[in-house]
Amino acid sequence: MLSNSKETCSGSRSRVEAAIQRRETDRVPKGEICIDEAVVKTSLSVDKAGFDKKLEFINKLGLDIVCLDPVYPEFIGRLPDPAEVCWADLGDWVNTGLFSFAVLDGVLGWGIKCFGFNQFLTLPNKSPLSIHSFTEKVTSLNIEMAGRLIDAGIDGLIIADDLAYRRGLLIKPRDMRRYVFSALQSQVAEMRRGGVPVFIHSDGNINEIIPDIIEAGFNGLHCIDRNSSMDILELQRNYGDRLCFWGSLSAEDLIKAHDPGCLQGLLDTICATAAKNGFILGTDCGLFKGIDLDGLALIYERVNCVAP
Amino acid sequence: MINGLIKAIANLEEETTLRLVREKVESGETPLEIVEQCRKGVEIVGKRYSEEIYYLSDLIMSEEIFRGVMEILEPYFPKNTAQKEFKLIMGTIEGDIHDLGKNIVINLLRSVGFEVLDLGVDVQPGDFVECVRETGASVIGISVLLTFSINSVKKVIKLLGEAGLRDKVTVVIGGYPINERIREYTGADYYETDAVKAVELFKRIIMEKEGS
Ligand code: B12
Repeated sequence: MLSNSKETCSGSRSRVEAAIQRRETDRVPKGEICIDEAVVKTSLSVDKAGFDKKLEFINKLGLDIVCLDPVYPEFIGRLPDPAEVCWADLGDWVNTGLFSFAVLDGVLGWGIKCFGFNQFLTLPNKSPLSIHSFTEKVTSLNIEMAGRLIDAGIDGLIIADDLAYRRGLLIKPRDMRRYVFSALQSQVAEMRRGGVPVFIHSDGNINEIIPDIIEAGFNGLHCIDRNSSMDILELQRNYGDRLCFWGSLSAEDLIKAHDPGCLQGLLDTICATAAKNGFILGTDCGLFKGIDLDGLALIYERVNCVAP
Repeated sequence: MINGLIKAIANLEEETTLRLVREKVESGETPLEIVEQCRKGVEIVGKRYSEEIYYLSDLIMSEEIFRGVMEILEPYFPKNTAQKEFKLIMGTIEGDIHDLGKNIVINLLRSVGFEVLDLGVDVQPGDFVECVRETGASVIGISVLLTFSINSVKKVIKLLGEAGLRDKVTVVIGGYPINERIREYTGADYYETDAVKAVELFKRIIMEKEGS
């Protein structure tokens, strides 16, 4: 079970802000990109996981961040109208002491949803024009939603898009630059003009496009999946002066954490990472049903004692 | 000698490929000869993918082109000769709905002539076993992307044993978290995490079975 070490959230927001600006923090900031309701219900033995229960869960785990997922209307095979999208309890979350991130979906995610996987991935080859107009629509959707979120007091934005899988990018870097990054660049610029930091989340091996992520103006990167050849220490060495890195714990790490030797190994790596500014600890995948929450709690508790 | 059709597929030129296939049909080449050339083209795509010249989207593009070729050729195939001796079943394990990798492997296998029965996603361990019983399939491919679904793979192997089918069936696993350690843990026979190598592996297994 999770420990009951009740952490107050005071300081969480500034701790995360400091990490994003790559300044020193009093302890390692922690955050989860998504928390499945089922996880909260099981952990707290409740039937419903509303705002209060979710906050209780976040505090219990000692997180500094809350991530708000968009709630879309039932999928109808097209991009939604911005007015149709909402973020549950947005007004309440921005008033907690937590750093609040809102998630927006990216071009690839929407494309795969609207066109189908094979159809969208072959679109650059088959119909460059239609992919172009599609990315423009996603860009204006995201810019409009970001405006609303910023007005509501959100602290940061995450553009979540799975650009890659374990082995590498889903599409050619050339197409990635032409269609995905050109769209990202204008989105990020607009969002940062609104005064909030912007992160990108992508699973998989994206080593090839880290310079493009920096050039697009992102403040940070979430995921850092070791199993997909993403080495956080290496990334820090090469890009730590320009990006904040968030994530790095895998679902396997949480299982391994029950073994004291493995736990120590994980903590050593976390300490080495946290020794450099600009690091937020979290899983690379968020908390979903079936994940080893007790293992995560072990890591999180110990991290407070040993790092930075 | 690399002819125009092989080259067109290898270079992922959809329109040229389909035009050449139509021309070849009209000039009297047999569908089998044409498919063989297309397969060579797809093989080159696979090689370029292995060499990291091509990306996943290119692999998918070659499947799409191949599917278009098969649509043109379908009416010209004599009936019943498509019946394959070996049946291979494939599915994503219980609790897991990831199917992109599985579908790519299945499509590539089909494009080299294997009959594959796709059980879909979130397949219960017992359903794999039931399907082996019903079809007499001798190879199972299991796709798994979620770490916590790995125990269900182990269960498939256990149930195969209980049903007295373990010796008759070769189990191959693949997907995001899979490595040798996990293969050993589940008791599967082989593992592979690369689509192109997976096709080679299935070919080898089936050839060995045919040999015995
Ligand atoms: C796309 C994706 C999704 C899509 C899936 C769409 C679909 N129809 O498949 C969606 C958005 C629905 C999804 C949902 C979830 N996902 Co997901 N997803 C991915 C992602 C980004 C890519 C997977 C993929 O399709 N790759 C492309 C294909 C081609 O590659 P592949 O599957 O590995 O297959 C190749 C080989 O493995 C092999 N292969 C595959 N199958 C087989 C079978 C055999 C027999 C053989 C021989 C070979 C073989 O050949 C393929 C081609 O080379 C991965 C990230 C990653 N690094 O892989 C996460 C990932 C797999 N997802 C993850 C998670 C946690 C989830 C969710 C729980 C939600 C969440 N919190 O993210 C849900 C789970 C839903 C469920 N119950 O299954 C985690 C799993 C962590 C873990 N260790 O358990 C990953 C690793 C992301 C991460 N870093 O955390 N996901």
